[in-house]
Amino acid sequence: MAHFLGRRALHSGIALIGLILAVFFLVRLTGDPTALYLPIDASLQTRIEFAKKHGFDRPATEQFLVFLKDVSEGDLGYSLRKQRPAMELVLEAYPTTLALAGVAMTLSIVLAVIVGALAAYRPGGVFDRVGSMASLAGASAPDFWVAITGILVFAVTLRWLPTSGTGDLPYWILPIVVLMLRPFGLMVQVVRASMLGALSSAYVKTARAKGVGETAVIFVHALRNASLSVVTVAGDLTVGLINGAVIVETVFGWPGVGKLMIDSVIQRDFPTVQAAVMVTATAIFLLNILIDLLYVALDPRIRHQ
Amino acid sequence: MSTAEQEALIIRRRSSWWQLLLRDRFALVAALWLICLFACFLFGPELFGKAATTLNLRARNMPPGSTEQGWLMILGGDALGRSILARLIVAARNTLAIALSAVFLAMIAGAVLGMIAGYFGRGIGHVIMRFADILQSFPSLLLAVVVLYVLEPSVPNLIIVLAITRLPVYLRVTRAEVLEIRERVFVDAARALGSSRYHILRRHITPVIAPTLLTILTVDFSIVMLAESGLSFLGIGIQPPEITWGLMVAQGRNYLSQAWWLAFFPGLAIMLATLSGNILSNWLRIVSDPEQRWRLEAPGKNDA
Amino acid sequence: MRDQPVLDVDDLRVEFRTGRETIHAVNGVSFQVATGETAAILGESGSGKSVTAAAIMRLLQSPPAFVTGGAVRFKGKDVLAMPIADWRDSCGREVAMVFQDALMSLNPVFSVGWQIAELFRAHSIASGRAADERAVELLDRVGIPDPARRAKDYTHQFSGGMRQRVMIAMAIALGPDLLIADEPTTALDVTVQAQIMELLEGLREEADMAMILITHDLGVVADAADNVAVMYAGRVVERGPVGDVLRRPGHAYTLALLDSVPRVQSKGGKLRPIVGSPPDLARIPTGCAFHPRCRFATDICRREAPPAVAVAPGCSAECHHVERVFNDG
Repeated sequence: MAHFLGRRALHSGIALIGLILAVFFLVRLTGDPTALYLPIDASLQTRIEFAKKHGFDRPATEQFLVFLKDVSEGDLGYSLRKQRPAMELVLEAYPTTLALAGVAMTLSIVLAVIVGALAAYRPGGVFDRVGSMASLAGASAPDFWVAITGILVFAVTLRWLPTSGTGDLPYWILPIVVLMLRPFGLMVQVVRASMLGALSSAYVKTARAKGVGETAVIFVHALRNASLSVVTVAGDLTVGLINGAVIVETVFGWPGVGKLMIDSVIQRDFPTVQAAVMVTATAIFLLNILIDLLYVALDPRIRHQ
Repeated sequence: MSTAEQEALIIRRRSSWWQLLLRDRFALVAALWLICLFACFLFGPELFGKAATTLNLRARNMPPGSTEQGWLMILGGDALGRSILARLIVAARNTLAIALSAVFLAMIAGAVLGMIAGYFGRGIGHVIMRFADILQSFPSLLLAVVVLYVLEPSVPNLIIVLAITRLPVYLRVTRAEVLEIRERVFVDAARALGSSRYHILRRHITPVIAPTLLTILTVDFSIVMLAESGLSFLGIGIQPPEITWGLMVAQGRNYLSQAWWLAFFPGLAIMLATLSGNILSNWLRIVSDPEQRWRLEAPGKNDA
Repeated sequence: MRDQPVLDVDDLRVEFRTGRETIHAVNGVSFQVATGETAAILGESGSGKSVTAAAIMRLLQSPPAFVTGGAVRFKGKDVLAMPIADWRDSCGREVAMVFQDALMSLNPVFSVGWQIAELFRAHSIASGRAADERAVELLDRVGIPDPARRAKDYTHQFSGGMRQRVMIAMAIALGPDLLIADEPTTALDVTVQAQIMELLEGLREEADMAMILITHDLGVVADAADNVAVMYAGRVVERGPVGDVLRRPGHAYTLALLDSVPRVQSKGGKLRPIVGSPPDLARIPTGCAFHPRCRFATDICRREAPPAVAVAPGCSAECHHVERVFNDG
């Protein structure tokens, strides 16, 4: 078990460091970073001063050491837009994204497990057909399009929900639903496939032969095994959820890290982009470790390896 | 019943793929729709290029459902009075070209790297796998945003970025299959007969992994299409005057309350294309899985 | 009551429908099992013996499997007609099953103690600590050393023989009247096979249970069973007391089966493998299904399905050439 967790943590750690390296060199390989860091209309004087101040005139290796030192101290430079530490902006935006993603992820997992399990119970039945089609449509729908269509129908035409912004429950409905579409769609298919496997397994036959009731067969014996594959894909789905959050936050004007990132890209505020990448990568690194721990808790076969 | 017995009972003579496709209505419609889109991809701009750029002031923001200004206006006109239908057909080329190029690029690069990682020593395999970890542990959209921010958002760059984000899937699948196949007897036999490594990869391993990769390819076609349209929607993908469906949605968004059809139809086009890709890929997966295949061959629920 | 069979299977038929074709897995199987009796069902893989067992337990997945005819009566009750929930209540309590592959048949993510205790919980006999304690007692009874500690272990931590003991512990937990053992020793080493059969036989005798022993192993049948039914292509082709059937079979298939394995006191001593392969159950040969592989086959075998012919008291065979086979064997 320790071996498994250690290896996984090592791999995630390498990925995290690799990503930080990639961001650092991507900026420098493409030429003069001042062009990236400064607004397009900055004067030559500003550029020279900026380069000096940030050490862009020094050799790349030296820059990298300084960069590492800064990163380890949580210093990722100043936002060019807001004249505040970039890290501060990112950490301010994070709770919004975490709340949005957390609610969407929890709801999609719960709903997908129920729908997927019931669909797998009678493959080819009405529920399976409808559920599978709905999940496919969810996984296929362009989220930005669903978002603006939703605004058009429920906010502009029917006036049931607000068009954008944050606030109490009505503000959450459209963003959550849009954000849930893809993870829900994909998760239903994963749950359905693994439940199908579990329900036709020999241990489910044994459980039935023991006289275990159908509810317990589905939700205890089969689902416990199928939950392993749900945990396996949960990491990938969360990563995908951040993609969705970028879109949803932009369309609904939520002050989350996705919107911050897009705004920073469009306004060429590279320190903020870099800080957002860094924090996101670290969050995913921690999440991966959490998922591995959960996996170990759920699968005794790995625990005793 | 033992699994061996069940298999012996169920894996029998098989219907041809073609017959199975005809039997599954959804998969058939999906396949036909993709063929139709492919025709737009091949001939669209040549046939409708002119209609898509002609300004018709009387058709500005014209609602759909009327052929008063010609049948091309059946889906309405945009803010400049251009036919939405014609623009959709023309935009199909860019949209499909980007998606198809990106998935094929990802598949070829991923398969080659996966073969290298699986077939040659552990050292290089580890390097390649950690590279895949980096790509997979970071949101592809953010990755694309950063790369397109640093590089410029041209079509080739967009294709390369999208291909890179999808590459790990092919890489992992290929590597896993190669590792397994490598252990099987027939490769050992081939090696004993003195075949070169290249020959073994090409003649023995490629045919075995090709069906799996093709199934993933159809899913990825949908994923990449969604990613491209998302990027274009955010304004960091395709830049005007080039058009894709995603960009059309972004442009139509400004007129949402006056002319919903500007954004609606391009989005619907994306959805139908990705849905078709997903349906077809699901179908392919079942057809190529011997334990599932009977579900397609079964005559349906009237037996239950 | 000793006369009424515990289980009475009458003309059972099972099909698998896969759209293009229908696989006739079980084609009119009848047999009875009385209290205290061990009845063996002998046959190659694909002969329909496991499907028969699954049909009795109502474990077949439908679709693709459909029971198209016949009846199963357990202690006089019509199993196939009763609501599934009622039958599941009898499962584990009155009828129990031991499966072939214990590694696959035990749930990998629950401890074996939990899985045994589940029987008491599912049938509301005991719960909590009491159920756990009884699970430990059962592990002890099937000969698992240090049962209190082992109860907390998972399937993958046991050896093949120990896993099969766990399966047996679950099967006998509630003292069933009938035990169906589907290839209980096939996945095991030869030395362990004997121990498991001994354990099963001992427990059966102790509780005076009836047992259906499904196997392809002639040795197991000879050692453990009272009566035997030989299956081929979904039919019972020969039946009778084990001693009679295995000593002087009346069906060409049974004889071929006996000739294909080394026997200790066989008179010829010459091994003769069965030619050809088991029939395609979607295209079962006309007449006697065995005729394409049979060395006694004549024209009538191709044309007509053979009737059951009495071979000896309590023995019958569905063969056109019972006499020739009987004299040859």
